[in-house]
Amino acid sequence: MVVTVGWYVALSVALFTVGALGVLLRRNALIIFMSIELMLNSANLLLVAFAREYGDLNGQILVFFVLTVAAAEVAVGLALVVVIFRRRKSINIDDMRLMKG
Amino acid sequence: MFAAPTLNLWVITPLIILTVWAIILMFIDLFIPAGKKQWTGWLTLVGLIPALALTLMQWGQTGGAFIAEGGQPMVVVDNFATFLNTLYLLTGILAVFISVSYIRDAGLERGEYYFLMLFSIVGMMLMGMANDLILIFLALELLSIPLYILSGFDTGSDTSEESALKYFLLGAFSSAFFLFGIALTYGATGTTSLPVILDTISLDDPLALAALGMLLVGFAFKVGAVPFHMWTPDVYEGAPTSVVAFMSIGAKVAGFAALMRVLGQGFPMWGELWQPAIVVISALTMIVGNFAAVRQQNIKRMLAYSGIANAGYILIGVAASATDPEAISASLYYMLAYLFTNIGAFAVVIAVEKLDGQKGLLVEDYKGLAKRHLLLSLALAYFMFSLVGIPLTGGFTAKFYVFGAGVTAGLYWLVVIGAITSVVSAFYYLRPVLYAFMYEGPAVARVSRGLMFVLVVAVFATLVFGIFPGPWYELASQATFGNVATFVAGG
Amino acid sequence: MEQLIQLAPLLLVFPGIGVLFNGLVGRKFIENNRTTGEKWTGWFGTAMAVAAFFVAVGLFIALQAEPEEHIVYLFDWFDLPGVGENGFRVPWAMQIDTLSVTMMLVVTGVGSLIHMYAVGYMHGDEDFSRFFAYLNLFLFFMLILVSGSSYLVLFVGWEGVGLCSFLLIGFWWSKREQGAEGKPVGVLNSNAARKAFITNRVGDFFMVLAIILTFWAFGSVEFIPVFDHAIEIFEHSEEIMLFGNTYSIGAVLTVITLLFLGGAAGKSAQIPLYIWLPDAMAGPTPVSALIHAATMVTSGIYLIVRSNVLFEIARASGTTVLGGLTSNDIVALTGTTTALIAGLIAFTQFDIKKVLAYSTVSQLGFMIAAVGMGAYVAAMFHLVTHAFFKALLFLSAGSVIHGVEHGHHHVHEHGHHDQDHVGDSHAEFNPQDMRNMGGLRKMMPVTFWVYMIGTFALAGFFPFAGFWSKDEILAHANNNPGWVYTVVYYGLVLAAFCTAFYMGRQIKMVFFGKPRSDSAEHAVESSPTMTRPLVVLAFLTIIAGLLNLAHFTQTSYENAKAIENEIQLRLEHWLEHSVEAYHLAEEGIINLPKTPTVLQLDVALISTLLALAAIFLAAFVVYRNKPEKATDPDPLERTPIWWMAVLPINTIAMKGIVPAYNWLAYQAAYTLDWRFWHDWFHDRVIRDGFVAFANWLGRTFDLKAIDGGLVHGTARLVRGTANMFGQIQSGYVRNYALAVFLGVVAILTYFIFAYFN
Repeated sequence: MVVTVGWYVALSVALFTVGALGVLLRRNALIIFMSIELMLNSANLLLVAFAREYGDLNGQILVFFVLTVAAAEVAVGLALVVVIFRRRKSINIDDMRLMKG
Repeated sequence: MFAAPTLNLWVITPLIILTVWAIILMFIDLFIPAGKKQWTGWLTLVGLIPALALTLMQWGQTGGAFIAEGGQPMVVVDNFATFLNTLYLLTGILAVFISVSYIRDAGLERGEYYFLMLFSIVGMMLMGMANDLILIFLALELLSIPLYILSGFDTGSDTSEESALKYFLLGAFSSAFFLFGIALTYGATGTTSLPVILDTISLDDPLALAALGMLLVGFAFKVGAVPFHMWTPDVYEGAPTSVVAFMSIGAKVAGFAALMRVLGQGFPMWGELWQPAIVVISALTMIVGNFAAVRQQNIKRMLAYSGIANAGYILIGVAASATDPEAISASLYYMLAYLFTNIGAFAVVIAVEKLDGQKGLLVEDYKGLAKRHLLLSLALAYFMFSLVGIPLTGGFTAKFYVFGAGVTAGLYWLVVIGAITSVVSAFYYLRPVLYAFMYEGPAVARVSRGLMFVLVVAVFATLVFGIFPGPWYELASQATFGNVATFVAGG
Repeated sequence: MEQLIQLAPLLLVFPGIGVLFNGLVGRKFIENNRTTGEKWTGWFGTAMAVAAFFVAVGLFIALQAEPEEHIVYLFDWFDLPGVGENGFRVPWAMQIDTLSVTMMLVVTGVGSLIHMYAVGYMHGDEDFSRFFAYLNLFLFFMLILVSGSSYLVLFVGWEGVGLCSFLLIGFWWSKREQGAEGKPVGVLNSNAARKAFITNRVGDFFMVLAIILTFWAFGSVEFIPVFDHAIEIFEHSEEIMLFGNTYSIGAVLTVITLLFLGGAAGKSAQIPLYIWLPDAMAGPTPVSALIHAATMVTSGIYLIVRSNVLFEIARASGTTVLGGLTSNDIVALTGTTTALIAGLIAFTQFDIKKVLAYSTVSQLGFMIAAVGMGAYVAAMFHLVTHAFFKALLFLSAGSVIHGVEHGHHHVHEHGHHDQDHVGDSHAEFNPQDMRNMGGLRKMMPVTFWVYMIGTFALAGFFPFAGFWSKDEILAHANNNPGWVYTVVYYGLVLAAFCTAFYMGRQIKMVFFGKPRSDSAEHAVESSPTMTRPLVVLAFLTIIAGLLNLAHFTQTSYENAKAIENEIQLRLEHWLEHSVEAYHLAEEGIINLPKTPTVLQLDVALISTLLALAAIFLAAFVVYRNKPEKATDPDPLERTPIWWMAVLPINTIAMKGIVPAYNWLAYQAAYTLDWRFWHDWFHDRVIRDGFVAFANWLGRTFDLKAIDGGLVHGTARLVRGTANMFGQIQSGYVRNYALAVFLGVVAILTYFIFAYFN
């Protein structure tokens, strides 16, 4: 079977959907981070697949940038989670509803 | 073999100055003792002011940097970018004046506040200058990540932490959509460069349509358009007020910059397609923002909804630009006028806020302010009148231009919604003014020298925009894409 | 003379200096030394008003030589080449012509007198300097309003005076004394201010629409280009391109003029937007006199007179709406209805200032009716005389209130309290309630006499100013054919009857009879600072009829014409230079209804007789001995049988008419006015409706739909259908994410939909 770019797109969309649903449905802030990472990586997969399809390096270079950015994001996100956990002993995002309305 | 790209570093000199100065400042900050951190704040201006001067010198010039052989530049400078860069730098400078006394009084005085702000400004500037989707993504993150940290800067406060986490989670969520949109665009066209996308993209490609939709989401989130607005009130309420003043302008303008750049340069020929989407978002944003603001008791929340509503007004100009690229100038002018009014309003909020445990933020807390601080109350009234859009204020002329642009483009009912909702807005904007002038109460305020400076500048600028809008609008109309020579590679 | 005209900007500079002086340093002066501080700030503000008056006089002199309009250009305000066909260019310029100078003279002249009066009236007030800063600010904006050469500049002044009105109505927002409905007076004052502001916004909305439409139709918002363009289109019977369609100029102008009527109804308190003006009396009395009687409320009339060309072309085009009415007819009928209804409501008021407030609404109705009938000069004439005598009445009323308050303090200092005078108990004593007055003519002789002069003028007695101006409007209505004019004529005659009646009732209750409270008994005449302006105004009220004296006989008219020695109809000759409609009528382009140049003896006689009858009826019949005590009910409230026998008219007919009349007056007052408009319509429909809508929207959009409707619903749906997604619970962050997600889905759906189309 020839794996055409269509398969990659389908896989990527599936991963993206799983990630999005994870964000929508999970309660643990860490799992939500992971879901967001999954969404980013599904986009990475798409980029790499298209880069190969077009024989173009730009897509792959973008993936490196995305990875770097994601690392920075995780650093900030984890720091936030740690700070919050220290004070509240919980990282359940449903507990975070001091502000609403 | 790759040919060395043409660098043209002059294009990004303001960015280089800011970045380098931010890094140097990190080291200088090590030697500034705790309790004297206001020096870090004032030193920030050493980077901001030359950057502003250089940016102003770039007015009227067009050029690109990082141009691969036979390719398109990654970064461009044109009047559009220069105009917006000026806005960010002005916001940054005014934000420093607001912040110094605020973060000292709030017990948040740490040096990283300032260089995070500098990095965020670099991100904002790149948003308008980027000519390539890769760079727009990087700029978006560079602008956002420092803001996540700044929102949670008050680590001793539950609300500040909560707002940071909410902002972070939702921001990352929306940038994931945005990145996916980039990937789809890349798939549809084989490139990420905006001018090349313009040449290659085809309306028949469902991939390209999905891509455009996803890209819109990323920008709509940053500008706080409905239904992507829900983070705004919580983040504004929880984050330190000086940060809110900064990001309510900077991040919003940056979102609009990229939105206009992408829609206007990447997808202009699809105007008929994206215009209805923008029109609906604009209408919803004006309606939800204004009506939800009516019942707010917390003034920061109220200003958050007001910010949402104002994004709706700016979107009128964007929607109009689908048929007439010149219409962008109305939105650009709106942002210029909004900058000063909004930062002035936040300066008043900061002056009234008591830093012991979130007091002084309710509209009720403005009771009797005029008795003790007449000038401050008058300034408050003036900013609120400007936000309502009463003549002789910048807010009036700004609304006037966007409504004019809307009518010219035939978006009558959108303008009607705008007019009706701005009548509604009088109800909540006038409340603090009424409380300040018409009730007895214990309200007191502290106006530091920095705040005083910002208030004077904001009142003056709002007045100037209200009385002499002509020349400024002329500048804004020189910053539209129609007046910028189409960029030629290697030029 | 041209140099004199160039002085026009000083008109704005002087009040501007006054605002800055009083706003910035006035308070310091007063804090340093109360007495000299008051002198400095009060008289400085007054001096600035007087200076502006002298500038206006200078302009007046200059115009004597060259009466055509002059444009004094100040600076470029808007200059947008890209908007509209020929760009949008509005300079900030002042139009100096006979019409605007007339308004300037009234505004600064009456304004100066009222400033002077206020120095005495506000003596000892905590916020003395703030008051003068606001007053000067008002003059500043009012002068912008009347001097602007374009609708946009006019609108700036329009908004500015609205703001000043808001600030001044709520001036005493901090008063803590108990007022009506158990609320502190300060709260009631702020509510009144808010009501005025919000009601005016409704009118402003129409103004904005009218201005935008004017721009789209005629490519400009400056008066002269708009009018010239309109005339040109009308003469050549061209059509106007708007929004891609063509419309006849009649249709476009009918819409524009009706929108202008909406704007004027807000500022000039016409039905249905008049509700704010009676409440506006919460402000200090000088404010009621200056802003809510003499000047600001007449800006609606000024607007229509200024736009006379548009109104007359709308009439000449013959476009009708609502079954055969031109927009001018609608204007005239609105004015008549207002004049009549407000006149009826004034019967039932006990507050001395509220009677005058309803009277103002009624008189503004006269003016609006006049402009609607094309009697522009008559309207301006009435505007000027009304400015004099209504300012006089308000200031005198202020003097009365001051005197009674003084008496009240006197009584309480000396501690003798008479049980008979129940109305005098400390908690409830209201110095503005006419039931607490009576017999004041002996205690306050100067005030009494000037009040009488004002009353005679308002009631329209010969030879006081009101007689001439009101008569001119009535004669105009009587002299033109058509059922609208007939309705207006009889409506206004009836309104004039009401005017005389409620004024008769008022002077009887205030000045005659025995004092009905200790405070009234010990009332004292006000200080000369206050009475001097009253005397000046009274003098003006007596002679102002000379401004536009009609000819007494046809012969004198012809003689005067033959020898070109016209001492009569001066205002008309003066205003002819700026009311373009007269030229158009002369050239035969339009057909302007004519105002008679000779006094109409029958009209004058009828109206005078009716006024006499009414004042007689009120003072000598209905209120002859009533009320005796402050607690007595108003005779009209009771069954009217006791006086019916006195009248030599068929008792049975009167039995039908009088109760019906009483019923109508009280219904108009309490149901139509208070219950319907104020309470029911205003509170229930506007406020509650708005609050409910806002609440609904707020909850629906931010809590219910997302939390309850969607998330819980979605959650239940998902949990119910499959467990494969695991345990699902709602939380705010996820709700927000869900909103983002749904937004994405909506946008993508839209694009996919667009793709398949």
